[in-house]
Amino acid sequence: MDHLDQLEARSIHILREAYAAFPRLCMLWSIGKDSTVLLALARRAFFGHVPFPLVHIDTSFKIPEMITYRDRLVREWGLQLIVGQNREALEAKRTFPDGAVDRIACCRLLKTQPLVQTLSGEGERSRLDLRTGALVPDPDREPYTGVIVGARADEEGSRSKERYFSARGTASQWDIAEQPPEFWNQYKVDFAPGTHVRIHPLLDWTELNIWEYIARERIPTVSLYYDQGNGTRYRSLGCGPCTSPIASTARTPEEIVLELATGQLRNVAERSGRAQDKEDGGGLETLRREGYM
Amino acid sequence: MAERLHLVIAGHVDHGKSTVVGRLLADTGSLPDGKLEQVRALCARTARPFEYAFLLDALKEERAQGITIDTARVFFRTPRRDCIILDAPGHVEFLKNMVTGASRAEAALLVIDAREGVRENTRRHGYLAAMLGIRQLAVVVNKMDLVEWDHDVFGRIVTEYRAFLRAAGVEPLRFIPACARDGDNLATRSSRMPWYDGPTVLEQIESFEPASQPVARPFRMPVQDVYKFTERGDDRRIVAGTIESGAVAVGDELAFYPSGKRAKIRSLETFGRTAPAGAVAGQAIGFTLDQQLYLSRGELATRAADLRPEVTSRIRASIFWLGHAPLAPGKDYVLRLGTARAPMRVETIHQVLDADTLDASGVPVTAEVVGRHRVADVTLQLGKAIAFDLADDVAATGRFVVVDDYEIRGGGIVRAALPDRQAWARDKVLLRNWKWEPSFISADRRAERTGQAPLLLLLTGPADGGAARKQVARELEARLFARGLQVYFLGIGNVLYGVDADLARRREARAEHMRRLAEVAHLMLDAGTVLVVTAAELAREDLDVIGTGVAPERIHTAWVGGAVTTDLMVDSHLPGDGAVEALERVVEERSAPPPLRPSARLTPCVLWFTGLSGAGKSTVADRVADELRRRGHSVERLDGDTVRGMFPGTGFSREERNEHVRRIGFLASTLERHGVFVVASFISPYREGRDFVRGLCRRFVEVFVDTPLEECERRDVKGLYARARRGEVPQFTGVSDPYEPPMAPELTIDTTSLTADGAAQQVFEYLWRHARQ
Repeated sequence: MDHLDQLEARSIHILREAYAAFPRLCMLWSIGKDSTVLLALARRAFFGHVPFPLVHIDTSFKIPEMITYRDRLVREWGLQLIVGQNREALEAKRTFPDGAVDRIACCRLLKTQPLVQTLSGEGERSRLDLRTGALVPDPDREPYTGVIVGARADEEGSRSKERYFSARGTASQWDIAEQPPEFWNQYKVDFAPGTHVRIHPLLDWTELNIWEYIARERIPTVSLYYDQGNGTRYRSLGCGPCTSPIASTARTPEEIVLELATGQLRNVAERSGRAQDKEDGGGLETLRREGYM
Repeated sequence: MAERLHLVIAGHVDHGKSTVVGRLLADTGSLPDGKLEQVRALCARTARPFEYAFLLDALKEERAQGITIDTARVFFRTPRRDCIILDAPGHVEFLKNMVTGASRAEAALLVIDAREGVRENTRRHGYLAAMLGIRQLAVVVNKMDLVEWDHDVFGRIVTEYRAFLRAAGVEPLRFIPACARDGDNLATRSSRMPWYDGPTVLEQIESFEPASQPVARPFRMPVQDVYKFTERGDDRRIVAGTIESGAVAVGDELAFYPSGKRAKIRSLETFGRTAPAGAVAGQAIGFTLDQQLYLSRGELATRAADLRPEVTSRIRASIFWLGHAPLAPGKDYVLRLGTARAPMRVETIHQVLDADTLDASGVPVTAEVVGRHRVADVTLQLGKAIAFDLADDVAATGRFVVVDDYEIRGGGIVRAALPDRQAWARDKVLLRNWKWEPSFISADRRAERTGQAPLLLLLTGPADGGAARKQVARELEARLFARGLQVYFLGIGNVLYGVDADLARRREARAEHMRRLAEVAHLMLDAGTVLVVTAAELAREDLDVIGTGVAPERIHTAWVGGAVTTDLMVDSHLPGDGAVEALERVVEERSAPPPLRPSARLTPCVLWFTGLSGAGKSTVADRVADELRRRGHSVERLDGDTVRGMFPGTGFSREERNEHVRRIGFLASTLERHGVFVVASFISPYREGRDFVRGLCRRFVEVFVDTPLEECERRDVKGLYARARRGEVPQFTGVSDPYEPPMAPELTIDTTSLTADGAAQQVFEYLWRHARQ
């Protein structure tokens, strides 16, 4: 087993533990490279099936290619997609692109809040109708008690403190100082009513591992990650107004692997193109404590 | 690609762990450019001296408190190694994070302050590293500058700590004198300690071996789950898990414990890759078997040819306790080992070891409870037998955690398997399961047909309560039968005078009586039945024997009558009225297939709504069809008016009506074959017409919308009843033509007491039970 096989095996083990423990399980899918690797791992863990819905929070400001790619993959792979959105804030134009609030408040309104409410069922859930490709209201409003997330420890400071199975309180908040221990392969799968558990199968993966795996497994990814001829590509994907590309001529996963392995991006933080991080002082800590991915 | 190593750094508070890590990162160029300067600048702004430790303190709060809170993962590269450093905290409150770090580590670096020497947590962390299974351990004696680089100080620490670690069961690989702040013997050799000629910390890290998987050991795979995803025609039944030890190949005979069931591996399953012929420790795999065994999570898959694991409900273990509340006898806990899970109690605390004083002369103490951060030698009693190994035989299946109040509060390793009182019965059951010839009909298919999971309902109570108990049992049987369940009442007398005819009715024979009762129950449960058994004054010991022959998760105990007079921990206590209803709810809950996952898919079928005009067929059918569409199914909605519109010449005589229904039936069955859900609503008044359609379809669900004529007439949505009464509509069903209600519909809906949504819900409940994929 090489290092990718080892990472894969551990992630699959964690996914299966999550599936056994949580009857109300879902996976957050940001459409980015990490959660798409997670999706590919789920298909491997469950032998071609993805036996839980994918939840995507649509801020409406995502780069259009991301949504096109999302819907295509959902239909090709026969996935179940649940979409959550803070329509109220969007209609009232209480967003950063509308000039009404700052970036952090915008993340809170368009991502954290609808995420928390979509998971709990208080917020409206839409489901992608596989037949028509249209979003229809989802009658299921039960809370999800297990939420699989593609966070990696090497991404930024606060994520390095995560556990594979990490409890979130009734209001989705994260108590970093009071996390239970993880002995060997035993994780936190027992949970009190009203709380939920976030599951992080990719915690030990690095950005380089992700691209090595994408290259090895030929996992379809959004074209935005690759240079389309103007010498730039996105390294981390998010909302259009707050995400900018980096200078790079990598056109394929293999070229990105080379770029990362040779240290060309060593001095650039992975999320350097994500403007909201800079406004949150110590990384994403404030947002993440409130329930941000 | 460099090999990857998980390394945990531990030691007493302020002995300099974070400085060691920070310095290693800086000296090996593992930091992004500017990071060092950024932290220096931050220190300057907050008027604090710069420390390498700050590099790791990624969270604001941590900087405020000045201590590392959690197991931070630090990714760090040397030319030979990809390292993940799990930076364990030194503060006593945060010991559980050290456990988390050390549980994943292949090697440990323990840091000791040369001036302070071996302290409480130095010992505790060393002991834990040994207990958690870390075999590669090196010690950094830090802050040598504070003791003037004195060789003797170093020598004394080496002597003291080496003796302690040996007592804890691990031999340290190396002691390295260092000064992390200045970088002495970290990445570069120090010139200030010429008396030391061993490796630097970095060289030591590079010489640690990444853990090798125990491929040559007995095959062990805790069963995580058995998957049957029938979507898109997938009919594989896959046993999934991660191999903890050993190797396995297609054709190997496996034995599953604690059940003792056996089968051969038919295939190893994968997705998107060529299926391999074999697999080894470390791999997450799935396989199919040559026989349809009923297996569930918690069984341990072993190779029949390898060492047999232990199966019992009593173990002797070393346990490390992290809970705020002490581990105490008499309290209920849950033990998790591999994927097995069992209720647990502490039988005996033999001794509590204080990791602080454990040294060559340390004297263990006995205690009533095991306090926080203590290590103890205990005997544990489990609520059911599980399979495991002794930690010395197979490490991964010889360790467990203890859960209290939803949290993991402690961990332990198995030192010995102790006999329990059911051992004699278990041996018989293991043999029975080995020799068992499974029915050709799988349990899945049986459950699909009956819509129920087998269940043993043990009704017990006071010695003089026999008549009342039997009354409850009979009534319950009648009610469940009326609801369509496959249910059977078995009085204990039926066993006593039949199967047990050769046994004397003496106290000594009681256990054997119970074992035979369990065998009878096992047969009936294997046939898919909900079995109701009555017996007076069942005790805990009786249940333990019964639980050996019948899977404990399939048993529900109920005490019918006043105060419980035995030591049995009953699942429900039913002292007065309402016992039958309460038990009915238990059966509803426990014999139902598992709850529907949000993603569960249904097998297409023909849903045929029949009933009088105005009964509400179309309204309910529309809702059902909408919901099926929302779930992503292909749905065809057929109704009377539409089809009659296509064939306007069709009249209303018995013959023409039957022809009309046959046409629709043909269409419906064809659609069903192509994977379409057919939701049909037709008055279809005659039995022979509906039965003809039933014969054509693979899965025909007759839904009788049973609204009384008076109610339909009262509603008279289309005004048809009024016209029929006036004689304007000939051969009108219910008025001038008969309606023949179904003899045995799959479902009857009473619209007088249900809303349309409620009725649709009832249809879905039926589908979840019977048409779930």
